[in-house]
Amino acid sequence: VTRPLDATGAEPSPSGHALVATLAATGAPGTDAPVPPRPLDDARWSRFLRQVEGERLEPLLAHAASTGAWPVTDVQLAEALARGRRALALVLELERELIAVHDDLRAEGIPMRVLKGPAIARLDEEDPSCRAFGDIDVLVRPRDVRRAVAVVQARGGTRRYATRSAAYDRYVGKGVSFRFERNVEVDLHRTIAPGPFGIAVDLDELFARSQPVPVGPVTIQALDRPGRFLHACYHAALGRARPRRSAQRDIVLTAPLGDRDLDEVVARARRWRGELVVASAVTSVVDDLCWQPPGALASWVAEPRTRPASPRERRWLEAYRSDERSSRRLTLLGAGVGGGAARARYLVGLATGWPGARREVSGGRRRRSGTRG
Amino acid sequence: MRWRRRPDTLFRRVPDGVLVISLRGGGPLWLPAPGADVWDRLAAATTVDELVDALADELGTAGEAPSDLVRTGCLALLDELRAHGLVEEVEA
Repeated sequence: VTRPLDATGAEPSPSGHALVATLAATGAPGTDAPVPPRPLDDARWSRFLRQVEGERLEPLLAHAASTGAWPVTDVQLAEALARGRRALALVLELERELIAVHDDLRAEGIPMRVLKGPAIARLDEEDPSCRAFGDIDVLVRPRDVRRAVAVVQARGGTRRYATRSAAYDRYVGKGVSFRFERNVEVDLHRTIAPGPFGIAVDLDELFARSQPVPVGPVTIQALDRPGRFLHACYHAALGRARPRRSAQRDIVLTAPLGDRDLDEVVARARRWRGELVVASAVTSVVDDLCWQPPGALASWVAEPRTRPASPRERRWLEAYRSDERSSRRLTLLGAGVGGGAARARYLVGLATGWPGARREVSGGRRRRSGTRG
Repeated sequence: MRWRRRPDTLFRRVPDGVLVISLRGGGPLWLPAPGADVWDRLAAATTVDELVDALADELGTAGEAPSDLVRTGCLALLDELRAHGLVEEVEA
């Protein structure tokens, strides 16, 4: 195909967002979004490229363009390949830091789980080169947060946000973000979401179920597949106002395939009070990526009576989705989760880390939450 | 002597070659074909003669490259990869 798609409206053409969603669905099971019939014209291509970069889909575009799954001109193919290489060059630098952090944590006796990008790329993508990521996300147990922070700082990591208190890091915050040289960022996670849904996660259970993932010469533990799916849902539904398409693709790639897999996912989500989160995330991917989930999951999502949500959980979800969403409000809502000693610890963390707006330690743009996806 | 990839490396295949990086430092290196073919063959310890024969066979069938040119290219690439800490020589 060599003739660019006419931008003057010779035939209906999808919006830029729809095009990016189509790209995000490329090669993912159960998706059926229509690919453009021929290459985009120059103006639309330029906009499309910017959006692709924002969604971290450059390597997927390079792969799709080079295999003929996405129509491009010769010039566009060269641009797509160059962007894909640039994104994957950063991926390699990030994975190198991942290995170093893993080795240093292990030397201190601190177990960890690698989250999202590196795990999804190597365990769930058919070709690891299709998945880009912009930082490294590592989960550590709450009791290890303080020591893990020291390990990452000893490696030269600089906290993106000033410390509130050690108790805040251990009992309240989602995690701690670090910046290294060469555009490398590492997020140490205590849990997988900010606010009440993150507090309600059984972190011992999340941590206990793991799957090994080889990264170069080392083997690192990731979450097991149900854990990866749940995390992908939490990330998509509770993170940015509009989730990245790459995050939605993660949901497709890790979705439970049969009744037994779904039962495990639902059981965990129920214990974590997160069924509403999972259903919301899956529904958004069905709408945005034209995804037909595996039968059991589709049936579960389509039948709300099988997953009753309390009014409190509905209020929580509204707080994440609200235009007035704030990390302060989500943190306060977290104080209403659980009881006994756990709640007391949370309140201590809150008291020692409150008030005080989170500020950048050194330069960079301000962000809504302490870690990024 | 044989050449092989160092174990402390990472790589990603891309549609037009392979990206490689050393865990010991330095930036990523892009190897377009036929450099990517050399990288693939260095998964196992390989002599320069074996590399040259294999690549000359692939390229020579298209009449594009005589084997002395392939040898020169192979040696230059191995030197560069070694300078970046990506390959090493081992006893035969």
